[in-house]
Amino acid sequence: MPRDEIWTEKYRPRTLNEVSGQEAIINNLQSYVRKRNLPHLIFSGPAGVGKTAAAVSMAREFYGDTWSENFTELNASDERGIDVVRNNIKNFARTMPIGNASFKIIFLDEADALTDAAQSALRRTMERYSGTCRFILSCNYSSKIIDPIQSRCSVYRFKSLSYDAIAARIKYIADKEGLKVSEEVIRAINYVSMGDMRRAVNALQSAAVLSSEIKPEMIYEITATARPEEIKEVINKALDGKFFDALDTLEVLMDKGISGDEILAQMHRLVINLDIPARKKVELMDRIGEADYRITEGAHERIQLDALIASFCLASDKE
Amino acid sequence: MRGSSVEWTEKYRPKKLREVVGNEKAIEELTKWAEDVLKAKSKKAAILHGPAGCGKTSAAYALAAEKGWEVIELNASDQRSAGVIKSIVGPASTSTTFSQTTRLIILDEADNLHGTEDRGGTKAITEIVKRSTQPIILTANDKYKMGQGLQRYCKVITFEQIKAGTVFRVLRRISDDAEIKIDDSALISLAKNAHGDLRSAINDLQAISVSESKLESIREEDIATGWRDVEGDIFGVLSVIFGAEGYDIQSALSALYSLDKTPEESIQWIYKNFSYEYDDESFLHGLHYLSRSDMFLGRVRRRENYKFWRYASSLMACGVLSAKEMQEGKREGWERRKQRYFRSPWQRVRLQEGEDRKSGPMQEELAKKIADYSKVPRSYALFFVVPFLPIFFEDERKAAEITASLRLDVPQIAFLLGDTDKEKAKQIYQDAFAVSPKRGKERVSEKERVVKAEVGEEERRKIEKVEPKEEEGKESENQKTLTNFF
Repeated sequence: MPRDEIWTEKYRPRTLNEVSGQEAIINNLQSYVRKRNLPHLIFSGPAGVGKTAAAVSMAREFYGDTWSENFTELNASDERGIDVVRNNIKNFARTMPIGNASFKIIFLDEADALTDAAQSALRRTMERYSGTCRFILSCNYSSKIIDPIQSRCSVYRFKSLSYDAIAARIKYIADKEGLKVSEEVIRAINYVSMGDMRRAVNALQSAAVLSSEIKPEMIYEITATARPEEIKEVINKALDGKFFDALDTLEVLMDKGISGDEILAQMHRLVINLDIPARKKVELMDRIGEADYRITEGAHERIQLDALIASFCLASDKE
Repeated sequence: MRGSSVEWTEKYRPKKLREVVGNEKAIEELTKWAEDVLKAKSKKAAILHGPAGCGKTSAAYALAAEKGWEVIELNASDQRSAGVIKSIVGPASTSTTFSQTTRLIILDEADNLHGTEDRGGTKAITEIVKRSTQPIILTANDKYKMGQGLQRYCKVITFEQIKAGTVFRVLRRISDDAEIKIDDSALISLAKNAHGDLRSAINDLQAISVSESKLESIREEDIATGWRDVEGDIFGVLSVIFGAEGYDIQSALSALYSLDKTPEESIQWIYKNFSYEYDDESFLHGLHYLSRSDMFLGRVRRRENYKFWRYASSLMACGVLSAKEMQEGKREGWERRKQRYFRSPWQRVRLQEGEDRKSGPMQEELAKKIADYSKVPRSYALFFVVPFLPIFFEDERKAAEITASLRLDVPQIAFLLGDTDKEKAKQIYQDAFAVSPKRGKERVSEKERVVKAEVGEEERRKIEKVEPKEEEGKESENQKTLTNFF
C-alpha cells in the first residue's frame, strides 16, 4: 500500500456531491452548473471546511476535460499587493475561455489578505471582465472584503463541519485504505479536528502510518493533543483545591510532549462545558487566556501553568 | 445551453438620467451642473460620492448618453500614476475633438488612488481638474479620502443609499422584463437584505434566477440559504448572548463562532447593546469582561497572534451573559424581556424602510412644533424626537395626547401613522380634544420623577431646561406626555 501520497490531496473531492457537510451550498452550486451560468461568488468560512474543494469540483463539473485551462487558482497571500491583481488576474481574465465555455473561473484564495487598495483594483476588473470571467473569492470572514466587492458577489458562508460530516468522510477513507477505525477513534479524530476536515484526514493518515488498527490514544499522541478526560482531571483537581494532585496530572501531560499552549487551548474548550455558574466560567476563561498570553510573553511556560493552577485553587477557596 | 452571461447590472444600467432611481436631489444637482459647465458658469469637475451600489457611475454614464458626450474612463484597475493620468486624460481634457463634441472624463473610484503605485496621482488629478476645458466626473465612496485641495475645485454631489421600496420596484421591473416568476415577498426580502445597495440586489436576483428552476414561481423560502451576509444572524446571536433564550454559554459561543464577523466587529455589537438595564454590580461585571475581551483583541493586533481571538470571543459573550444571569439571580420575578430590538454600532447608516433621515418638509414641520413646545433646538427635535414619534403613535391614546400637546393637524397625524389611514388620523384628531387636561398634579410629578430617573443624560438636560417653564396643571400634563416619548 503506497503511503507516499498525501491523503488530503488523494481524497480531495472530484465532484460537488463528494464535498462534505455543506448541503445547502452545494445544492445551489449544482444548479449553477446545470444552468451553465454563474455569478461572482464569495466563499467565507474557517479553514478546512471545503471552500477550495467546492470551487475546484464545481470547475471540474462545469468544464469537464478542459477544466484546468479554464480555471486558475491564485493565492492572494503569496504575493499580495496591488500588482498581482492588476497583472496576473488581468492577463488570465482577458483571454477567451477554451472549449465549449462562455467564461473562465478565477479562484482567489485568502482574498481577505489582499490590501484594501488591491481589492479596489479588483472590483472594477471583476466588472470589466465579467463577459469572459467569473471570480470566486475565498476568505475567513466576508466582512474583510470591501463593500463594493461584496456588492458584486453572492456570498456563501461555509460552516464548521459537524461530527456526522467528518465521521462519514473518515469512514469512507478508512474503508478505501483498509483501516479499522472504531467509533471511539472517530470521536477522537473529531475532537482533534475541531471541524477542520484537512486536520481530520491528516490525523487519520499519521495514525495509519503506525498501524492499520488505529486506537484513540494514537490519534491524541500523534496530534500532540491531551485526552479531554485528562484535561478535565487537571481542572477538577485544581478547583477542588488539590494543587499538588493537579500538578502531577499536568506533569504526565507535559511528559507526553504536549505543549503548554495546547493544554491551555484545550482547557479553554472544556471549561465551557463544566457544571459551574456562568459567572465562574468567565472568570476561569479569563485566567486561562491571561496565562496563555503570559506564556507567549514570558520565558518559562511551566511557571505560568503552575501559577494558573494555583489561581484555580484559590478561586475555589473563595466560594 | 450556454446561458446568457451578460450581467444584469450592466444590461439594466440606466440609459437616461431620469431612469436613475433614488437620489432625485443628486440627479437634479448633476443635471444643473452639466448645464452650467457648458456655459462655463460652474466648476469643471464634480465629485459624486456615496456608498456602494447607489448609482454614481450609472448617473455619470447616463448623463453622458443624454447629452451626447463622448466618455473617457479611468478606474482603479488601471495604473494611475501622474504620468499615465496626464498622458491619457491630459490631452483629452484640453483639446477639443474634431467633431467639436464635449468629452466627459470619468475617473471612477477616485478615492482609491494607491499610495505608492499611483504616485502623484492625486496631485495630477488636481492639476487636470484645474486646467481642463472638458467636464470631469470623479466618483468615490469616501470623499474625505480625496483631499481638501481637490475638493475645492469640484462640485460635490452626495448620493445616498437607495430605499428598500425603490430597490423592490426596480427588482420587480427587471424580473418582469427577464420573465422570471418570483413572489413579491421574495423580492422584498432581497430588497431588504441589500441595505440600500441596488447593484447587490440585482446581482442576488440574477443569482437566484440562475440557481432556481424557472418552472415554478420563486418563493421567499427559496432564497433563505446562503445569500448576503444577513443582519438576522447577528441579531440571533445577540438574543442568545443577552439571555433572551436562557443562559446556555455553549450555544451562545457556538452561535458567535459560526457568525461571519470578526471578534473586532462582534464586540462593537455587543458593547452597543449592553445597556443600562442592569444593576450596578452586574453592569460592572459585564463591562469588566468586555474590557478584558478588548485587551485580548489588542494583543491580537500587537502580536499578530490570532489565537487570542478565542479568549476575546469567550469573554465578550460569557461576560455579558453572566451579567444577565447575576442580575436575574438577585431579582425574583424580574420580567425577562423576550422581544428585544438590537442596535447596530453603525446605526447612523442603517435606515429602516420608510424611515427617512434626510429631513423632508413634514419632518421639519413636526420638529418646529416640538421645538416651540418644549424649547429645545430644532435640530435636536428633528433627529432625536421626530424619528420616534411614529412608535408612540401606535398607541392611540398616546397619539391623542401628543396630538393635543403639539396641536398637530390631520395630515401630520396621517404622516406619523405611516400615511395609511386618513380615517384613523381624523379619529385621533377628534380624540385629542377629549384628552382631559385635569389630572392630578401630584401623580404627574411622581411620574415625571420616575421618568427622569430612567432617561439618558441628554434627555435629562432637556427636561431640566423645560421644567422651570411649567406653571399650570395643563402645561405639566402635556410636559409629562412629552417626557414619556423617551
